[in-house]
Amino acid sequence: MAYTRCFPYTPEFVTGLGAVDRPILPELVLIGPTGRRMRTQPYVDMGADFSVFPGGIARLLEAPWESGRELPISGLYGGGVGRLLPVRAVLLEKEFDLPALFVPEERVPLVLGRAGVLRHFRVEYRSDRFCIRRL
Amino acid sequence: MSRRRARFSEEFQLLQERGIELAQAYAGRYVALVGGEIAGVGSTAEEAYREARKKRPDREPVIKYFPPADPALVL
Repeated sequence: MAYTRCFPYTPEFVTGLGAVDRPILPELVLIGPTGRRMRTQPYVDMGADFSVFPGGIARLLEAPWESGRELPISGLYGGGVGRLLPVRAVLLEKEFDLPALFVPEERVPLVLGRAGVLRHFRVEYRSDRFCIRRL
Repeated sequence: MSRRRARFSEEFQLLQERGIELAQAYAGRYVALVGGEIAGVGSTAEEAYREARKKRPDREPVIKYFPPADPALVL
């Protein structure tokens, strides 16, 4: 069932800039291999190759860290080696496979990237809101 | 509160209404939101989550990270 939902940008404070409007998703549910669920509020960044989450989220999801494929990474969260762990996610009531990159660094923004997402959704950034269409 | 905002969860409404204030107060920290309140805070997602579950065992919190308010950080 295709439908579209739009969300207002969320203002956050940045030193020197003041309020900056950011595309924060009201809720992305992550599901680990044991069925453990976590509700998160990631930034929606379709410029990012992968979704990125801190290692702490992987532990809460009981996702086996050692089983993940190692991936050297660099980005806003710095550099290092992340682990690509397959989890499930729920967005707009649709459950889907989400290849997510978990990084050892804890202080990283939660990001919903393109991989696994654009197969099921379209994201459009408008001037006053962003919209997600479930295909 | 507008009808349009009322469609969203309490956790999201809290961010819409107090996002700037919260981003300043919790820069570089994780928060666990339950309804319209902050039920847990920590330097890791686990800390925030566990604190929230202790305070509100009846509800699953929403985990949110506030990046540092560093001017160099453009998401």
